[in-house]
Amino acid sequence: MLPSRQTIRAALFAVILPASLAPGAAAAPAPDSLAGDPGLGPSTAAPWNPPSPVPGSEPWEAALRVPGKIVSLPFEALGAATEATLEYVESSNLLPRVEALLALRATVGLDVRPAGLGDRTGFGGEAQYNPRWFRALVADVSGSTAGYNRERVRLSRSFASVEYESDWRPRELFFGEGLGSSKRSVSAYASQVELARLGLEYTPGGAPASRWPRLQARAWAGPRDVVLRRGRDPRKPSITESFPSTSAAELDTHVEHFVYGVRAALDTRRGSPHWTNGWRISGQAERYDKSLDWLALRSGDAPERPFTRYVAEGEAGISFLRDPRTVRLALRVVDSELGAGSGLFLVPDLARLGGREGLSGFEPGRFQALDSAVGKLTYLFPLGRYVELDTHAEAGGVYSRLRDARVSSLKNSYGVQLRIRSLTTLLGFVGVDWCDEGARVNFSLGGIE
Amino acid sequence: MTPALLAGLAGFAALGFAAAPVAPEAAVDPKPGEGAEAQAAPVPRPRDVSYYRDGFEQTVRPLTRACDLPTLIRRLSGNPREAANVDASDQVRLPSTWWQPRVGFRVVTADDMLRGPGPGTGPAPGKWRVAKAKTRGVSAGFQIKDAQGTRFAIKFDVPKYPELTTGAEVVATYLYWAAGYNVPDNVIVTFRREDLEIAPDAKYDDPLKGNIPMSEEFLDKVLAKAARNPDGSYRAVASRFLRGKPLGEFEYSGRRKDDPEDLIAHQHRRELRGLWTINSWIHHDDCSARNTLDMWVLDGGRSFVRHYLIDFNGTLGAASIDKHSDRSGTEYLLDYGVAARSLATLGLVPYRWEAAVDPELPSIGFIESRRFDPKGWRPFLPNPAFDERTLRDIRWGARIVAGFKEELIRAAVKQARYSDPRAEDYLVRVLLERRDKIVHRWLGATAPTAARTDP
Repeated sequence: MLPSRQTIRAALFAVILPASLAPGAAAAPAPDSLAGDPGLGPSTAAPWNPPSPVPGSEPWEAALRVPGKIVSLPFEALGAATEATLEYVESSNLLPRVEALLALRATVGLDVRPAGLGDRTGFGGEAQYNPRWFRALVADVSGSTAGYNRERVRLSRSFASVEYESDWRPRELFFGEGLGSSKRSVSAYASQVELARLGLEYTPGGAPASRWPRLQARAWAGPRDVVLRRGRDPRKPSITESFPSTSAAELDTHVEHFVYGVRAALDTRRGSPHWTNGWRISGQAERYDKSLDWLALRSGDAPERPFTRYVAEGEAGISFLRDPRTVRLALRVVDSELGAGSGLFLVPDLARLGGREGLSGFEPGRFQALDSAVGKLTYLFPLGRYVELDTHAEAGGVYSRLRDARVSSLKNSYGVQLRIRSLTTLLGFVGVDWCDEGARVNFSLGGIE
Repeated sequence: MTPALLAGLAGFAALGFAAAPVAPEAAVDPKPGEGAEAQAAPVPRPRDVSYYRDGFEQTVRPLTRACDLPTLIRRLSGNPREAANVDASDQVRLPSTWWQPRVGFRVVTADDMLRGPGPGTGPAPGKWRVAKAKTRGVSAGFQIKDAQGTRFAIKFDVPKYPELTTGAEVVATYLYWAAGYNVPDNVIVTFRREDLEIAPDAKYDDPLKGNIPMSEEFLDKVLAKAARNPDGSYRAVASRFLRGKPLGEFEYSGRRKDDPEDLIAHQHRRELRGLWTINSWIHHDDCSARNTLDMWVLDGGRSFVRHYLIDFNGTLGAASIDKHSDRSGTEYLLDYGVAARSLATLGLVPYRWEAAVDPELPSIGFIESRRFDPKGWRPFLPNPAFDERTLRDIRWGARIVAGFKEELIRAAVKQARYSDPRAEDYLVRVLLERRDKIVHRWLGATAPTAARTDP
């Protein structure tokens, strides 16, 4: 039989009481509390003190802490390093300096920030130049430790814009087509995309981001050139080794399309720090047509296969209680229709799932096919003033024809994210997503919603 | 990185604190020749507690405390370590350089209280010479010398919440003094732009250019961040510089070992442990080491360290440049207990603060009494002295709170000079109701308190 809590207390008390009578703490005789009180003003007399210093811990407490101190040495070291860093940040006035430098951006027009190149791209940065003397021009360059890079130049005025983009992605993953592809058949490929486009955008009232609800309509047209290259990931076999038949015709072959499309979106979401109520819906149709010789970026090496891609997205959420607990449901469907002909349809043009594109527990690009459908149910709730938890479940699949989609064929993924928030915005998250193939840890600084 | 994100990160790095205080850079006490012994006393070394480091330390400390064997043993055995500086009647041993018995122990009139922290007159009439600007922290402010050469720190409200911070600072100053603590002399002042002139040697710390001379343009920029009265004048708190030599903050744990009079680890001082109860009443949730100050003073013929509480812009309904969040007082910056409960219930059980009603008075901010929990009140950051508090410490503080009569509370609130009469009435009512809750919870229904003598 276990001793009762009272018994334990009594035993501990008996042991501790004698030890806890620290010498000096109560050694002096007890005078009347207010004796010698000079009045309401602060005293100038020497303060009462025990004969010897009263330490924070009594000897028996200090002794009991020794093993714990030894065990926690690595944490102590980590804590000391963190404290030293924080002291440096504060004493060097670092944050105000960074803030002041960022304030200069508006005048200089140069901005440096983390890059948004996607999953598995390593640590990246982006430099953007938007000259003060020519605000219509925006140029940016992004690069990452995994060798990804992207350059963009955009010239815009009112509702019209012209842009050019070059995107090098050296370590994209390909596992084969369809839901039946195996995780073990992983391979890597590189792609180089170059595009130029003329865009038109309509937002009622020239909507600033704070306008509600937000309605946006866009149309664009321009040439696009894609070339598939051997994968540059040293830890993954190249697509040329794992899928020689798929890649043989496509490798190092420039394929050019004339692309035009439209997109309309309506967004009624609102709330902070995460959006709490409302919905968004968008529809996009994009035609990858035969290239126009007079408008081509390059003369394609092989005939292209025209296709049309439709993307429909919708998401809705509701919240309850003051610190919002939010339930969200999101759906995304991609439907591609291949045109007639025998031209090339490249791997980078396949619809993808895995990573941030849906089914986050799977590797990015884990499932690829012409069409895809994915749904996500999210429940967000607060853990405290500056922390909230995002729990979510996803189900989705890729198909050669969307009508082949079956509930029984869907792949599932689950995840949680610990999100750091200020009172008005989300700052970053660290999370884990898992599926029947394993788990993936992910994190982000900014750019969450 | 977006500005919003950076601002958020900066705020989070600062752990969401209110602005760093304007350090009262007092000169050495000018009164010479009060005794050779005093002159010879060794001056403790000034120090500067890092706000960030302290924030990190106090955020991590609950985890280490939860794993601390002696703490666990004390808890299980029901044998907490009592304060080390109390006598047989459980009162603070006197004399003390930390605290002086006032309300709850002696008769303190409203006049006593209003004269207590200092003359309460603010700067002398005439031009104010701006000597230094406050560039760190989020709130605007500068230091001036009045026409008689007396130095003051001038602090403002933000335009969104006129009278909020200044009002809270002044009310809390008087309440803390009456509660027995050493505080600076803070009063509400009104001035116009033309009352200011820049001292020839005035400088400010520019984040990029370093210490550079102050210009009229810069002063205008500082004032642009401040709330103005309808007639265009500025309302501010004038905080008279404390006499003596500033030695930096005191910490709520450990000792200042180079001070021969500081022999008791601070977390075992009754005045600091019991401060929890008073802070819960005044809703001073930013009671970290950074809002304290040790001064080396020459007084009564001897030199010694006097310990001050300063910077009350995180008291009552104010949180420096903002009002208190609805949840302030109910959870720490990072509260592991609250997080664990939320995790276990998937956040489906409402927090107590979620039913609190905001008075919607800009000059009051957010403070209320209906949902105030005198047992569960928590500051923004865990405080080592508060963590050691025992029932006896809490009751000691409750005795002080119980001694505040309505007359005293109203006199303190009046010093805020709220332009909206509803603000004064609301704040007095909330303080009375919070007082009564504290008294009822910690002293019981039969306690002889001012609560029962109020009309």
